[in-house]
Amino acid sequence: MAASNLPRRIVKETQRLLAEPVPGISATPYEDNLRYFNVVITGPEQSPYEHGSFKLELFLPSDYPMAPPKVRFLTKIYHPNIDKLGRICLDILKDKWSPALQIRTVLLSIQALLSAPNPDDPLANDVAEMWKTNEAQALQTGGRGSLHGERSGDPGGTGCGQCGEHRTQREAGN
Amino acid sequence: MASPSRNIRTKETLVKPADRNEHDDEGGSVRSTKNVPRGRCEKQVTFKTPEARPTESCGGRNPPHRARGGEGGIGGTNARLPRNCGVSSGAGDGDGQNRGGRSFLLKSAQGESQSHAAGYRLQLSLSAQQREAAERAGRGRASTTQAPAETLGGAEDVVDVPCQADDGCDMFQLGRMQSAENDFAVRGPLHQPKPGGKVCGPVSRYAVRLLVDRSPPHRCRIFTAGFNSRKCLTLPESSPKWLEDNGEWDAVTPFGIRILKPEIGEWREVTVAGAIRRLRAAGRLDTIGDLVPGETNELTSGTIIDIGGVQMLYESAEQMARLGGVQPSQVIELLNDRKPQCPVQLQTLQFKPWKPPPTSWTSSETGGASGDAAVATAATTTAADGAVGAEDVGERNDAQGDDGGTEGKALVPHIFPACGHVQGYAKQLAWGPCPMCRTPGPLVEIKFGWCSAIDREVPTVVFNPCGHAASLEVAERWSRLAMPNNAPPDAVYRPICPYCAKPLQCKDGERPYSKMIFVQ
Repeated sequence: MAASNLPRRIVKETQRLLAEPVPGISATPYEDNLRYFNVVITGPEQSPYEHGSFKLELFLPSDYPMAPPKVRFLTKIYHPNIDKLGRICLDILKDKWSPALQIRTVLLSIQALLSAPNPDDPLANDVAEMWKTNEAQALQTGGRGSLHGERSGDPGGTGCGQCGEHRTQREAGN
Repeated sequence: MASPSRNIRTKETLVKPADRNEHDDEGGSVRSTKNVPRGRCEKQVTFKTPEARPTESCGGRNPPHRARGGEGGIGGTNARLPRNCGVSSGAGDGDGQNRGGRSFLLKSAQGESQSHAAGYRLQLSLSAQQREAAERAGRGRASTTQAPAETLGGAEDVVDVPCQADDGCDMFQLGRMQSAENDFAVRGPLHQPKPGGKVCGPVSRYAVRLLVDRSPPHRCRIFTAGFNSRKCLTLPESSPKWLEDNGEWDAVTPFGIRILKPEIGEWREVTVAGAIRRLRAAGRLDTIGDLVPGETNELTSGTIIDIGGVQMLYESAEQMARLGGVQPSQVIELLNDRKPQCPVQLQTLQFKPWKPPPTSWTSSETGGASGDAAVATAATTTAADGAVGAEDVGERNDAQGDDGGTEGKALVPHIFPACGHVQGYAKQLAWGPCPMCRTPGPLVEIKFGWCSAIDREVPTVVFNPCGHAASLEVAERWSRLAMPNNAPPDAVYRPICPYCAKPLQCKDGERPYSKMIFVQ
């Protein structure tokens, strides 16, 4: 996709992302599709994901910014709000999206989600359950799992309480 | 008219006789105005019709910022017009029509020489009850005459009082009729001409007389009702009339004229003789309120005049000269210098450069305003309450959003008046919620009224829901003032935007305006 076809907003956002990257986050568009970003988030300090490095993909749909970007973890991660396919349960990526939000703010929110998981609104129920009952072990697992690209525990469950479609999609994916 | 040379003063009619769809019931078609050689103009009175439309006659546009330092202005705006548009009057306005000023003070001249009266008369048709009341008072019969049948349609008794000239003041008339007699045609959205129909509404054809002293301090007094093309001030049987203690008749029009002086803070009704009375009992058109002793019909700065749902603001030229610090071009420059950003499209928004309204005012400026006039009035009109904010805005946005104008509008500062966040226009955002704070829409363009009778300082807030920018002081003042939307007994009082007369809406029951929040 040629840059000239890109909306000005996406061009500006990309320029700013490259010129002033967020600490701990890198986002680079693919040359053959400037709406498709290769994202790397380093695990936030003092979180179980510290020292971890997580690859994500981010895609800006045609009606962006009126519609949210599509973001997915490529690196496997043990996290109550991220399922084993890397899909993220984050309100601003769904119904709480606002056109005033940007790639930068979305990635910052995902970074914050790593620091502060929300087990009360889980996408991966087993992880959430573990987080609630035995946080210490969950933290340990989280750290290990992320580093080695593995996850322990059974990925079954009912999916995100808010996003019912995840369950079917995931099961179909399995 | 003791000194004719003095009386040749330019005061053009604001209304060109182009639009003749309203006929004077008594005088047939609208009388054309005659040209009179121009003399020295001691005052200019400008007026922006509240509802001027292309189909109506507009002599010009009133640049309110010019109404300073001795110009008088009656101004008004309309929500449906992008700019203050309307009818103007000025000494050198080539479009306007000049004629000799009139200098009459309505006053009973009975028993005095009538040579001064120049044919101006007060004719009051009495109903049976009014005649009886007058007879009980022992004077009624004496002062009534037989009605001229052709003018007063069969009324049995008519009080016919010749009027006396007063060379000390100039008279200006306002009313619904677009005729030579009315210096300002005041109509309003409540009485738009329907295609092929007749203009009608609660504004009387000859509603108000303003008498402005020719000598300083140029006090301006207001009286109800005006003279028609037959030089008669006629009032029908249905309007309340009574004999005052001094034996003179006084009356009001059926719908009346009300004023709200800032120092009094309550609406009062003005009579034909200029007396001040309390409002009539709710729902009654055939009564009259109590006389308020000690209050006069002399307009003070900031007085609001209500003519059946159309309001006008009076500011003295003195006051406007003191206030005239707001320069539209500077304000626009100041705002653009801040390079406001659209938080959605990440573009720099740009206010359109201010352009002086196209008018022949330049010539009128040199036309000899001597700097000592006293009238400055801003008129606003009430929009029909049914067509409040969102609907109008939506129509406009939709209409413009589909065509190629969307790209341009994206750079024009728009605002969510309910929260104050400024951004460019996008069709998907037009109805909200605000991307910054999720407050419900609509998204409207930021508009400027630029009316020196209203503006005090640099605008920092916008009215909700119309999006007119104003200074905080103006917003606070106007959100506390309740304006009637119609003539009694149907009037509903509510605060309006002083620029476009749209009823204001409070968000969360708080104030009906929001600070403009620019994303830098």
